[in-house]
Amino acid sequence: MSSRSRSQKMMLAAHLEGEVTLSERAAIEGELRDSANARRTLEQLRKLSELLAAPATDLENIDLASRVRAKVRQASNEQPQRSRRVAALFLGGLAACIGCALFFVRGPQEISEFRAKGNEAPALEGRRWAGIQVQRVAKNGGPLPLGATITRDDGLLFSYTNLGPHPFDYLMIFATDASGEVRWYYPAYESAADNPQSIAITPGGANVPLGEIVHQDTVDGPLSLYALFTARPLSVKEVEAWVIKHGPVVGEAPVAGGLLQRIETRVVR
Amino acid sequence: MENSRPFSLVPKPLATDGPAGLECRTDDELMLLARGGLDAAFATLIRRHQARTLRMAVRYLGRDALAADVAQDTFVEIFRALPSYRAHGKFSSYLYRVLLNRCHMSWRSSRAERRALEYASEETTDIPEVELLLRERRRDLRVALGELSEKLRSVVLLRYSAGLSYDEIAETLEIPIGTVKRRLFDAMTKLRESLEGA
Repeated sequence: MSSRSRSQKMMLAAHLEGEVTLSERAAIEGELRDSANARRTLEQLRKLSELLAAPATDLENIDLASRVRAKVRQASNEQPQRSRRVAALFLGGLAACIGCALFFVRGPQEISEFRAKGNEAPALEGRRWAGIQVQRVAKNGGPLPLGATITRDDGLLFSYTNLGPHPFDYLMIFATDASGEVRWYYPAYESAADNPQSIAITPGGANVPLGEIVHQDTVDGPLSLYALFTARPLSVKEVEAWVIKHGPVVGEAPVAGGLLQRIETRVVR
Repeated sequence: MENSRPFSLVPKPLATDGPAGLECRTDDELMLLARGGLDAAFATLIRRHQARTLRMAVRYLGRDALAADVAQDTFVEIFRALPSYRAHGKFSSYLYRVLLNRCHMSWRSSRAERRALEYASEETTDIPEVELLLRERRRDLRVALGELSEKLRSVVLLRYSAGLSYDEIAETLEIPIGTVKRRLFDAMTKLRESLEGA
């Protein structure tokens, strides 16, 4: 193909694409008027582009979203087991090394102290394996990581991770604001006459979304968000009574074996 | 504390985030909502792009089942990468880059099966002539596309099957627009010649 012929055909292809300037279009239209060959090439290119763009009718109607969801679920069910095995091997090795080091450095009489510290393991383990992730959603905007401040209009999106050898079964998410009020995110608390309980959560899940964007009427000032992971369900009134007893800023879970995670932020105008 | 509790503590989703509201969101917004845990946002994103994604995959790979698997794996990969997604307004380029990589891999690993398929004769009893001709044209196109280099095939499919603009193709493949135009022209010329000779 000569360079002139190639250039002319490129122009025809560009014309088909609508990617030519006004002067180029005038030149191409002139050529199309004069040359049957040019008209034939353009027609062939048009048919070819139509064939390439034709829908794959049978295929395009499949429920791809469900297939993707199923695949993601299947993968996330397999992954924690794998990670747990790897983590157990790693932690086992680490514990053995620490044990040996303590034995040789401090002598066997220190073992009781080492064991006493080991009694705190469930709580520490819980912190390592469970927790919530929080994002704020501004009005007319997408979710952003929860930062040092949020505005009154922001909604909050939560997800939780509940892994480890002894995952939890229940979760509550609430907050205390500058007014001292307890604001409930999960479970939903609609009326003072109700006394809803913790929501059930899936053991072995990582970043499991709680699919609602929740808005609360918080007042300006510090806002402490709490995630309370437990093995048994607690009621809203039990937890509120416990918050009143211990003050608005609490650091430990109200029940043995529970895990309380606190996240601090500030509500601004 | 209970008496002073305001009665506006009900968790409420944003009114705009119902199924219809999500349709109005941009790709980036849907990705960020999905990252925040809104399952419906990712489903909306898949539905929005599935036709073009599947069309491109099936033209590239020539087989429906394989194309569906590749499209599915593309969205799974994007879902897994949600935590690191950066919203630059370039979701399409990102999506098709992932899809193309998966198509390339699948194409290479299914070479033997493809050869058998290209020359396999289809069952043609009781099929109207028009449909037969159409099938034949599709088969010829599949063979012609298979003869193109990966570079040319990618450009021509991004343009016509995925419907991307020149700018978007340039961004997806990280090449200059001039190169996009040249490859597109070369691909169309080769396809035309192959189909004329078929």
